[in-house]
Parts: sequence; C-alpha cells; structure tokens
Amino acid sequence: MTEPQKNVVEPVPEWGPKMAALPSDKWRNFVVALFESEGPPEGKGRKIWAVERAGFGKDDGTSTNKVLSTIANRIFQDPRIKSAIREYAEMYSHRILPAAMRAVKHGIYDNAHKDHARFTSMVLDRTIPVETISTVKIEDHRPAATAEQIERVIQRIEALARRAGIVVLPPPIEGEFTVVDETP
Amino acid sequence: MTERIISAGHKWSMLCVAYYKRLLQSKLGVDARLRLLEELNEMSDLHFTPKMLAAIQPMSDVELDIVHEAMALDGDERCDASFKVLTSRRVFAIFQQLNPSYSAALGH
Repeated sequence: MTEPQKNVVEPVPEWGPKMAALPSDKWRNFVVALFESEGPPEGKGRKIWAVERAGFGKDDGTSTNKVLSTIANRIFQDPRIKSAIREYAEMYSHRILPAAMRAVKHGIYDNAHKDHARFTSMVLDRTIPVETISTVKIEDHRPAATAEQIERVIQRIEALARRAGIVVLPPPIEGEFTVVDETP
Repeated sequence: MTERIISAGHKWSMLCVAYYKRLLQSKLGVDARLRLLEELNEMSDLHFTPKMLAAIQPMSDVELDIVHEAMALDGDERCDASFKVLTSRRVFAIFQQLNPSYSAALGH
C-alpha cells in the first residue's frame, strides 16, 4: 500500500453548512478523502486510509491500523459526519456530471463501443420515454361495522356514562311541525 | 320538552373541538400543538361561530373513554362508524350531560 500523504487535500473555496459545522479541518479532510480516486477500495482499508490522510493519528505516522480504525469508526458514528458526507456527495455529483455526460456522448458517437446500444437506449429513455397509461381502480373491501357491533359499542358507552353518574336516557322526540304544501 | 335538532356535522365539530382542547392540555411537542391550534382555528365558520368554539370545554376522562370506544369500530383511516355512533342522539345526549358546554355553545 502506498504511503498516504497527509494534509494534501485540495482547498475547497466554500464549504456547505454541514461541512462547515464539522469540528475541525481534519474532519472535513476525512470527508473529502473518502471521495478521492486514490486509496484502497471500500472494505480494503479505505476508512483507515482516509483517516490517516486527513491527519488523524500520530504525526510521525506510527499509529497502528487498529488505532486508526477505532478513530474512523468513532467519526462515522457522529451524526454530523453523516450529514456532511451527504452534502459533499451532492456537491461531488454535480462536479462529476460533465465528465459523466462526456462519457455518455462518447459511448453514443462510437458505434464500436461495447456499450453503444446501452448508452443510446439510456438517453432515449430519458428524452423520449415510453408512455404508459394505467387505470387504477381502488375499491374498499373493508367490512363496515355492523348494526350489532354499533349497538354493542353504544351499550358500552352507556355503561361508561352510568358509571360516571349520568342517567342515560335519550330525550324523547318532540317537535312542532306544520304540513308543507309541496304543490308547485 | 323539546329537543333542539343539531346536525351530525355540528355535533362532530363540537366533539372534535372538545377533543382537541383536551389533547392540548397534555404534553405535546411544539409541532403537534401548533397543528392542533391551526385545526381549531380553521374549524369555525358562519354557522359554527368562533364564540361557540370558545364556549366548548375540553373533554373529560369519561368522554375520552367514550370516544375511544367508538373509534375502536373504525377501520384504518375512515371514521364512518365512530361518526355514526358519536353523533347519534343516544350518545350525543350523554356527551351533553357530561359536558354542558356543548349545550351552552349552541346558545351562542
């Protein structure tokens, strides 16, 4: 494994709010190092490499991998670093977008490219997408409460009211009415 | 004795107001409290006036038990069954006895 160079992360003109909220430049360097092209892949010492590259551990470089791994894990547990990684990833994806577009363009213009058809299809799918019309019929098959269930609940409610000292008698229906002439 | 005829919708509104006011008395987060206050604010209209809304007192424990009994009839989202039970003459008469502020509100 090549010896990682410490503190050589390129300066970034302006950090986003999440990156700026990290406690120190070492933490910010750690996030940036995670995205760098150099270094071992994930699962093969990437975090340890990033921690060391960010400047954690002893200055003379004698920190063991176990120590660096502990530091990396502790940093990863911090919610601030998670937010910062998400923020940086978004910025990073914008930065690599032109290169991604150039690669697609190259794949489309080069008929001999092994992924020529895939690139072409990818672009066509996004520019002239296949339209599908779906009709969704939503039916509610949940059984409605039966009259017996409702009656049982009302009786329980009346029992509750009796316990609270309420005489449960619905008021009798009384009313004054007049016959309305409905002829036009 | 004559009974004032109250629409089911009005009864429901009054019960909701009392229920929300009861909820507002419990420990709630700022978001939940604001949501409930906004709901209350939007409930009044030309017929269910702000005066009526203000007159309604929070639900008592017994009223709350009754509401929960009725809500047990409901499915996941709809409240058809509890609406039917709670706004029925039999049950709303109980509410009126338990919480006279419903009748007082109707006088406004």
